[in-house]
Amino acid sequence: MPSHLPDFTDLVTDQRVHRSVYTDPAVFAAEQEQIFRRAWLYVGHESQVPEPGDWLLTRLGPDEMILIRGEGGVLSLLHNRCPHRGSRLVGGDRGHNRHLICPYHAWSFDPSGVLTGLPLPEGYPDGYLRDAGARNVARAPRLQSYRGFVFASHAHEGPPLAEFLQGIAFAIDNLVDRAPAGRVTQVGGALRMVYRGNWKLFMENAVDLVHPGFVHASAVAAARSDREAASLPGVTGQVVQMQLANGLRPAEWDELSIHGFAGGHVSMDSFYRQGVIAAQRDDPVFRRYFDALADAHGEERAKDILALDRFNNLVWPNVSINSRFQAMRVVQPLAPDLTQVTSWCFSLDGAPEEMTRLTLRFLTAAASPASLVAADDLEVFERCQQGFAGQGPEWLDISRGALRDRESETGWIAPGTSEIPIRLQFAAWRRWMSRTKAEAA
Amino acid sequence: MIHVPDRLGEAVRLVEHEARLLDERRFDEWLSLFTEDGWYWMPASWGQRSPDDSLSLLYEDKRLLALRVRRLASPVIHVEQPPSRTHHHLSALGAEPNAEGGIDVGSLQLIVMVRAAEQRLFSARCTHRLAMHDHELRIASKTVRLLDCDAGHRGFAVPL
Repeated sequence: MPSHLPDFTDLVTDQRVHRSVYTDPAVFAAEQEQIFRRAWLYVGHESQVPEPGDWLLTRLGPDEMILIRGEGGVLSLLHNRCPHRGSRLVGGDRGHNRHLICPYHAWSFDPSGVLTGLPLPEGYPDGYLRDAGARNVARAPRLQSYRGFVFASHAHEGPPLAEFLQGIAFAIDNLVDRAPAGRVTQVGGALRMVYRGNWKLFMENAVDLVHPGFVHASAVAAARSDREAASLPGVTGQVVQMQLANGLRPAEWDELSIHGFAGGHVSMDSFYRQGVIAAQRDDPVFRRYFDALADAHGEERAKDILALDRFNNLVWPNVSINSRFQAMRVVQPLAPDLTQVTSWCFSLDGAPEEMTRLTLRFLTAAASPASLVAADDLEVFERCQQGFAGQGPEWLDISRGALRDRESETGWIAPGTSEIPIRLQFAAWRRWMSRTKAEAA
Repeated sequence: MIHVPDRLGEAVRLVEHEARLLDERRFDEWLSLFTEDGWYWMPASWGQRSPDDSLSLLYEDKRLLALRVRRLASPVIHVEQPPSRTHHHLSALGAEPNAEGGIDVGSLQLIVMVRAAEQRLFSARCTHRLAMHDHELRIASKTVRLLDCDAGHRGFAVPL
């Protein structure tokens, strides 16, 4: 451990976690240092910055960053901070600039962060401004695109991205493979939800197959009283089907599998079986889409791509990907008890335009703060955080199903009701929280 | 033949009545104000032109609004335990005939929401597209453009 950080790893065992992992500012600070300033984190999609000079404001752990494309197409991830007096360089969400010019004293930088001009250079000694480390915009030392999805790390050294994504890269592969042109494009803006609770609560819940019948009981019941609406075209049928799917009984959830990986990543089988939300539909739009995919990959390969029927795929520590619905959620810890979740969707290049409408509706129905589903998830996260407060019982249980977890060729596999997703995420948490920087390298 | 300009005052009163029904949680009556093919839209981005090309905070037709309203009556709707309260403060109301033979009503609405003794504010520019139905004005669509549509919001279940 770095000497200034206490050891928190005894707060987590295979069976239980101490409530302070969700509440203690010292734990949060250590997570930021040990996990969010070292691990590979998703920072944006290449289609958001297609041309040289295009930039996007994003975050890498605790820091606000600019993802910018330079001449020759090279991507850089720069701190949104002028090296002169510290001002934020850009104020908007995204833009296009050949040079980034600080609003304070007009220092200007090229897209790789190199100082290209400033007023009054004669005020500095010869050679002073060529001290690149001090005069250029600070940048993330490691940045790598995986099939268009850009990840970065604040750590100079550590496991390569391919090793970090071990087990879960298929979720990105499957999303991109679904595009007949082999490329996806981020479209449709974003949705942002905020809750007064710890970031881990969202990641645990996204692969919790027991909660829907309880947390979403009111929406399930309301949908069941108008089942015919599930077969209506357009947004109506899709949203009603989504509510009905949440009403599976616990025994039915157990027929689904949870797939876990050593890096803390988790993939769960889909529970969407009926109508337009089913893995493979039979309607004119889908048939046109299938033909385009088969033209690109051959019929067998196209069938294999579409047969992969998973719902949420967690890329630990803070991303959830749904390849079937071309959707991605990124969890941003803001404080021990404050989290923002941003949701994005992607169009499949070469697929019928109507396919994009499906993902827009899916996320509008599933990831808006006004969602029939998500509003209750957010409420329960806040209730957990409220429940952790005070001087009551200190330990929380994460042991359900542990006796039935078994190792698979790639990691672990367990029945849907197992709490293995929480156990695996905390196992990764423990590892990163206990590793020193030297060990991580 | 209905003469639309004669009904501009009635149109404004309908929008005021709609806000009152929401504040008084008379959601079934609120729903009945919509035409059978009516819809409700809350964009998620500033200047958003359509719910079909971008994500929305809310995009529901009457059938889905009915589901939302039934859910609001459920004892296990967690985000409404305790229930939220709202005041819709309306201003800048203006009505004008639209190209479809109905009336568009524009308004600024400051929606104050209180739940569990905590207050939240939503500022919106609303457009109600009203249509004649059996000699009555009904809501064909309601668009709620929040000033902070693209900010992170905490959960809410009631239509604003």
